[in-house]
Amino acid sequence: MALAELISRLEHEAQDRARAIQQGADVEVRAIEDATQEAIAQIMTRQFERERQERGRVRQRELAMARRQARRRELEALHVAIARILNRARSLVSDMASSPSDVGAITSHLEEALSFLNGVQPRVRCQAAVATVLQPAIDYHVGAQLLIDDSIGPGFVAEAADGSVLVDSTITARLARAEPRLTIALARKLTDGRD
Amino acid sequence: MAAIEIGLVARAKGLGSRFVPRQTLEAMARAEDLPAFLQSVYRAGTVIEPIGERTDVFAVEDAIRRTASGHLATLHRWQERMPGVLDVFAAHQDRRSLRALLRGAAAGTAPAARLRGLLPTWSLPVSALSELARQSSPSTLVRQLVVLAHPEGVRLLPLARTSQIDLLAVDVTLLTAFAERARQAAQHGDQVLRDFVGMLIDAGNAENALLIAGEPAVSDGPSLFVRGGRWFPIGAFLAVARAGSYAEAVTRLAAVNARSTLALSEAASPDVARVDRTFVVNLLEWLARASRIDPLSTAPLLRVLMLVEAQSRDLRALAWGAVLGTPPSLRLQQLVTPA
Repeated sequence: MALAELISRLEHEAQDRARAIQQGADVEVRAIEDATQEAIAQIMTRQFERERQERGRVRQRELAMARRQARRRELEALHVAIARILNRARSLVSDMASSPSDVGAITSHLEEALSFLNGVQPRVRCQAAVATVLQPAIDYHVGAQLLIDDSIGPGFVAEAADGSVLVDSTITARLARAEPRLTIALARKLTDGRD
Repeated sequence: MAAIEIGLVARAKGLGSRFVPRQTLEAMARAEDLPAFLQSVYRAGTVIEPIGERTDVFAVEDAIRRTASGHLATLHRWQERMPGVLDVFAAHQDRRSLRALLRGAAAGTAPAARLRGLLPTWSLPVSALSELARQSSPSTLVRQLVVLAHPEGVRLLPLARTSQIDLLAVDVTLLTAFAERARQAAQHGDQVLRDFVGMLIDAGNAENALLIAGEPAVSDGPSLFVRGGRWFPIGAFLAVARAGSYAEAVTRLAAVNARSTLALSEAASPDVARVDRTFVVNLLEWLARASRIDPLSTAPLLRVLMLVEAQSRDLRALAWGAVLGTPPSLRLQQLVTPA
C-alpha cells in the first residue's frame, strides 16, 4: 500500500469518525432541545394552570357577589312591593270600615270581645260614626260602657275598667297583627313559588 | 241495658276519642291569629269539618257547627230503642237555640251573629237554624217555626202576636216546653237521665231568676218558676229573683246552690256567661262521676253529648280569641272541656 493511499484512507476514516461524532452531537443537541422545549412547556402549563385557577376563583367570587347583589335587589324589590301592597291596604281601611260587610262584622266582633270581658265593666272606645251600630251590643252587656274616641281608627277598642285586659279590634290593629303572615303569603305569591 | 243501648254507648265512646284533649286546646289558646289557630287545628287531626274556600272566623264557626251536627247525627243513627237520652239533649239544644234566635231577632242582630254557638239537632237542623236566623222579627220567626212543625212553634205563637215580644215570657215558655218535652223523653230512662233533666231545669230557672233580679217591674215571681228541677226549689228561685241587684242575685244563687251543679266558685265574677260555663263544667264533672259509679247507666252517653257541646264552645271561643288577639290566659278561662 502506498503511503499516499494510506494517508487517504486515514483521512477518510477520520472524516467518517468526525461525521459520526457530529451526527451523535446533533442527536444529543436535538434531544436536549426537545427536553428543553418540554420543560418549558411544562413550566408554562403549570404557570398557566395556576393563573387559570386563580382567574377561575376570582370569576367565581365575582359571580357569587353578583348573585348576592341580584338576590338583595330582588328582595328589596319584593319588600318594596309588599310594603306598597300593605300601604295600599292601610289606605283602604277607611273604605273597608264603611263597607256593609264590615259594619255587619264589627257587631259580631264586639259581642265576641265583650264575651271575653264579662264581669270586668268593659269600656268600648269607637269612632262616632259606628257608635249607633255598636250601641245595641253595649246595651246587652251589663256594665259595658261606650265612649266616643275619634282618634282611634275604624273598629273599636274594648278594655277592662281596671286596664287588666285590652282587646284592640281596630282594623289597623288587626292588619298589623296579620302583617307577618300577610308578608309571607305575599312574598310567596309574588315569587310565584320560586325559592 | 239492652244490646242496642250498649252499641249506642260504645259508638258514643268511640266518638269521644275524636274530641280534642284539654291539653291540645290549651296549646291552641296560644295561637297568634286565626291562620295560626287553624294550623294548630289541622295539626291536631280531624278536629272539625273542612272549612272551605273562605277562611274567616264565620267559616270556622260554620265548620264547628257542622262537625257537632255530624257527631249528633251519627249518634242519632245508632239510636233505635232508647230515644230518651238524645231527645233530652235535643230539647236542651233547641231551647238554647230558640232563645238565642228570638233574642237576636228582637235586637235586630246580623243573622250570622244569631247563630253564634248554636248546635243543630234533628228537630232544628243547620238549614232550619239558618232559615230562622234570617227572619226579620220574632213574630216571623215564630211563624216560620210553626211552618217547620217544631213543637215549640205553637206555644210561642201567642207571645209573638204582640208588637214587642216579651223576652222574659219567651224564656219561661221555652223552659216550660223543655221541661215537659225532656221529662216525657226521660220517663223511661234511668235515674241519671232524670237527674240530668232536673239539673237543666235548675239551670234554666237560675238563668231566668238572674234575668229578673233587680227588675222592679216583675212582680209575679212564682208564676215564672218552672217545676221539675232538682237542686233549685221555688224558694231559692224567688230569693234570687227578688234580689236588689244582679251581683246580689249571683251571691244568693251561689249560697243556695253550694253543693249542686250550679255551684259557683268564690272567684267567679258575677256574669251570666261565667255562671253558664260553671254549670257546664260542673255538669261534666257530675257526669264523669256518675259514669264511674255506674258505667252502664246513661251517664257515659250524656257525658259525650255534653262534650260535643263543650268542644263546640271551646273551639269557637279559641277561634274568636285568635281573631281578636285576646290574651291566651283569657282564652283559657273560657274553656269548659275537662282535663
